[in-house]
Amino acid sequence: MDKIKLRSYLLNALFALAGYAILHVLLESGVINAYYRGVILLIGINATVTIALNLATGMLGELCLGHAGFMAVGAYTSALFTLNSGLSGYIGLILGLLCGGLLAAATAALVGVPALRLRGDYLAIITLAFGEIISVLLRSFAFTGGARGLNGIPLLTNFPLVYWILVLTIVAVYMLIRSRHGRAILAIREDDIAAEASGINVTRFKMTAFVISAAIAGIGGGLYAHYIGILSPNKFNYNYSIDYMVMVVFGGMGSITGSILSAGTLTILPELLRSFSDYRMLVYSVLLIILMIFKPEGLLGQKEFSQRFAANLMRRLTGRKIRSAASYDRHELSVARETTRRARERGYLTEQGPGDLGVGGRRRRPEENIPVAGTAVAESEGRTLTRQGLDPGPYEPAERKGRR
Amino acid sequence: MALLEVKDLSIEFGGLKAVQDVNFEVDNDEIVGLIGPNGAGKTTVFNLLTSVYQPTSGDIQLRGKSILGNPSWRTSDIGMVRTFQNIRLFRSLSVLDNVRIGFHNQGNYSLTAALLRLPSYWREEARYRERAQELLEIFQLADVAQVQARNLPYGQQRRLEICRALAASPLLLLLDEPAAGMNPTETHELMDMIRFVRDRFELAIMLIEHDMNLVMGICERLIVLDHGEVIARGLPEEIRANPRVIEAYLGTPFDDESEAANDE
Repeated sequence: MDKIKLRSYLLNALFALAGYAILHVLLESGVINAYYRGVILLIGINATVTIALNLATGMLGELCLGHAGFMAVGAYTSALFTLNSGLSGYIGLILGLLCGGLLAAATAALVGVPALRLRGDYLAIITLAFGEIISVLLRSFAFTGGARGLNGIPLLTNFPLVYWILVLTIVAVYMLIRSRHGRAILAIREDDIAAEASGINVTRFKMTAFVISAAIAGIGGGLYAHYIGILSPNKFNYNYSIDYMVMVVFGGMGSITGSILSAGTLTILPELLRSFSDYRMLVYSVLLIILMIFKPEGLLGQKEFSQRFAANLMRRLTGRKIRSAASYDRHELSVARETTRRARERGYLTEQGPGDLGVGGRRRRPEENIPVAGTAVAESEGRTLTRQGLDPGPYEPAERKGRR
Repeated sequence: MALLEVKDLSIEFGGLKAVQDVNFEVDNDEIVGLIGPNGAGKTTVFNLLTSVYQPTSGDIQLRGKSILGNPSWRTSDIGMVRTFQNIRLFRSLSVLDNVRIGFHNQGNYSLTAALLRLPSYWREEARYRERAQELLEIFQLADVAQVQARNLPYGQQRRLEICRALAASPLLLLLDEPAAGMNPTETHELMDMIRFVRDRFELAIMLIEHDMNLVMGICERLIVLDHGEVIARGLPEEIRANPRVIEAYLGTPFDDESEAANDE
């Protein structure tokens, strides 16, 4: 494993632990009162759902207007589980959350199969309808309590649970996005035709991202159910979906840290504006309009508030060099230089530099081939054509999966 | 056996026969040009080769195996990668990421390995990075590896698109009007690069192009399409002199005598 990467992972883990410890101490010692405790829990839940929606909308690029529906599925499933399973306490809650997440994922698969095979904004329309259907269904079933909803759900959602589920969500989405699977998802957002030509199974990766997104939203819904204690079908309406969409856009489409920031801001803002009473939503919407005028890409755009970003910011503010960013750049450069050197050694690069590609090029005859790993051999008309992969090192041969 | 064999390929859109009974072969290491006037069906042939369309009749065989019925995304697995007439890059991703996405068809770590950062993830990612870096060095894009693709000048975007296509290590590279929008100097550089790519990566190249200097300069063989049919094939010099090709491009010369003959 990459040493620099390992160090930055450890540092992030340390930040997460420190954040937890500080908030935990403040909550336990009573510095943060019960009201703010509730707000903090709500921020955590909203941030989780916002990140989930960001995966579908900001990263995959599919407009999704029914995340309240997936939250409702998760919320009702987990609430019914804790109310009826007989499992008490946190085991019941965690199992309930898992069930909620799984059922939300299954529902998403059902919705996604027809919608995600198509290009265009079909998913937006179908998820919009899905959100409405869910709230109608919740109203008409007896076991969901009909229009009255569910009451007396145990208030089991507490700070550690919300915090660590949020951390887990961040880690999972980050790990996904910084992998070949995640790059495939981003590629689909950028240009699905080019993605397909690059060998990406567009439908499959759309489904992956959408289903994961719905599962996380379902878990978020479960947390919400055990936070608020009562569920009513009216809560999970179209406006609620739009609230999360606003958070995604406000924080920046495709930015995880932006989602957390905006979930925080947009949860606190209505609370702060309580003194304006009737004008609360007016002020809220004016603030949103102002942001969209002056920063249409959202608070962070597609950027992340990373260690590197923080170190660069510190460097600009204090004028001092911060080790993290500098050493990371150096690391990248050294990798590049090493690769070039090795390429020269192996004769991939000529000394005159790749710029002079050389008119006509040097036609390499088979006996001139440099034997390296990654050599695929194609038989053709009695002569053997040796294809030189670019594979430079001691790795596995670059076989083509599924090549026939 | 040829690398690519196209047999009696036809496709109809409603009543329109866009491509009719097209036959051709592409051998290993060849540079073949597909030319013809606008609307002749050149891009349709590319779309058939990459399974974007399924033909009404006929067959396409790569290394002796039919590729019909494959989903389009499998094309690069089989060994054909294309570029696009209007450049299609992943515009807001970095140059490096663009190339790394090109390696997608060679990926062999699972989603679980990615989420849990298992050793296979680190091994494969390191390999992607090194190979991407090498490709970028070859195409002089290493200095801009971290730049967003949309911020590159036009020529570099073209190079990046070819670079991304090569990342999939194709046997046959399909270039759709690579010189579109280029000035003569850039076109000349592009010709050098196409030859270089063929030699360095030892692959066959099939290209659609309207720039006759480029076509005559680098193609070893030409196939001329008009109204969905092959009207000529052969060496560039032969094509240049072929009366049917001249007719397709310029139309029939107005001839008083033959007109008069017809009247009688």
